[in-house]
Amino acid sequence: MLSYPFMQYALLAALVTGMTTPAIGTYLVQRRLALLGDGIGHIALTGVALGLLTNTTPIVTAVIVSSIGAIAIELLRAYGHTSGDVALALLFYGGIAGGVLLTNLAGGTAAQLNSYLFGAITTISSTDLVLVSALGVVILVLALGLAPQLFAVCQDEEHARVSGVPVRLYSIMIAVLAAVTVTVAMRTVGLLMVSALMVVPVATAQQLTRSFRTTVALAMAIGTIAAVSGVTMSYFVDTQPGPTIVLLALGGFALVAPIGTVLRSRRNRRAGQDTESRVLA
Amino acid sequence: MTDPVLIRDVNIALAGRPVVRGADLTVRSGEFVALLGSNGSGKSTLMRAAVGLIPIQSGSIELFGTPVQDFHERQRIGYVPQKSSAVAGVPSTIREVVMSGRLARRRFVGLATRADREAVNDAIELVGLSDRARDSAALLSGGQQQRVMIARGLAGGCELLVMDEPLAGVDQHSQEVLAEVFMSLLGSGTSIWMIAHELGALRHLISEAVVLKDGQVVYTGTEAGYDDHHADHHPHLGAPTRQPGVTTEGAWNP
Repeated sequence: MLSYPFMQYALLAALVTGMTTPAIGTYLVQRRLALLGDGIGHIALTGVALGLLTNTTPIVTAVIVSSIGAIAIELLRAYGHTSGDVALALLFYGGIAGGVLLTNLAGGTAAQLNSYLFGAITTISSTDLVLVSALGVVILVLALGLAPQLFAVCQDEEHARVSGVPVRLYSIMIAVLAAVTVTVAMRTVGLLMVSALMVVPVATAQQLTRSFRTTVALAMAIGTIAAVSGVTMSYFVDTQPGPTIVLLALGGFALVAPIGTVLRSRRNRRAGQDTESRVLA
Repeated sequence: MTDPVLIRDVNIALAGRPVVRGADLTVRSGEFVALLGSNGSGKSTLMRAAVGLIPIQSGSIELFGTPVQDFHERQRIGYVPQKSSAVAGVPSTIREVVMSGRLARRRFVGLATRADREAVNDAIELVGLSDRARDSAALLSGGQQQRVMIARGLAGGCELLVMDEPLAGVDQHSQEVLAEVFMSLLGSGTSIWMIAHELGALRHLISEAVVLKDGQVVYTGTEAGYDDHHADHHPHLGAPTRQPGVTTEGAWNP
């Protein structure tokens, strides 16, 4: 399997995707904006189509367009009288309609769009791989390096603002990082399923963890395992890699969720006993 | 010595409606000031403006002698927002939540220093949750969570602790713990400004009570001099009346 260059590229891209998507996804889940990645994915489609229309590398145009869209969502949330989900909806449909329209104008086909909507990891070129890796490094450095600030902003905006943290700037940064992550993952799992890799590993990890730090680490590990084993499995079983990865991640959640339920009830009981003994003492 | 909080003739409007009118309030160094009043009287709005979260129409607000809009020594203030929760969408330990209170003092990048970790441990110990420091905050009771929020406010080593209804939903045991915490803070020279409905176990610690009614200060003086049975005069009938478009008490929608 590893003797094929296309599989080497695919596995490397899966590795980058699996690590980066949960790293930024954890912040989105913490802010209760789990579907932001999905909205940005739709916007990125317009970016891809713009790339096809202008004969530019679609990843580059997708990064630019989805970043602009992410900033728009954040500003709508902050300044507009629009709630987060309505802001998302507005851009969802604009993005997908723009993408299809521009692809038609470019003389593109549905098949071409499909490779971005559902992923086509085995057709990744070396240029794509270099871009994806470079963006992945940027995401990881920022998401992990600025963790204290990002954690504070996502945990409690008001408190962060009074502490002197430029909350709006960081909110926009999180949105833009999410946009870049979407484009990184676009070739691997496709724009329609990007959000799954941002959210499902986090949801799985938090079944077992009690700290933010271990949640991020475990989610990144789960994402990486799902992405790499998904690509490997699709090679042997001949399935499409994108859906395979997502289904593996969901399977992991289904396996872990019952364990999480047991763990939580046990911790709750212990916490209850602690309080009780203190009250009695 | 400059007063930690100096509010003079402040007017604040939310969504075009005046909420605070000509308010004066002073928190002197080492004092414990309680801001009282019924729901919707403008308490939260005044406090949120004082820490720079919402703009004022007119008047002046100074923190440690500096106008609030120019105030950058954020580590001098510890803030406990109203109805804040230690729980967000992802599990975090008590230690992690309290560590975010160090932000104004921490280096921009890099790991927490020994001083950061010690301050966090001290703050958690002060509120009596040391044995729970590594537990997920989601497992705590309401009163315990409020103690975590106060520990977060204290972790930065503030000179002024500002709290919006820290006693709301806090059980008797936690109230007693907090009374001890505040007593030791006052002993070390920290000033405290707090919004409350009922003073409960804190009554004897209050240096000054300020009462707001319909956005105006109607009383400033000792706690004993104020007829505390305000609920008899204007009972709380559920949620405060709000202007359409104002989502929470003290919220600002520009």
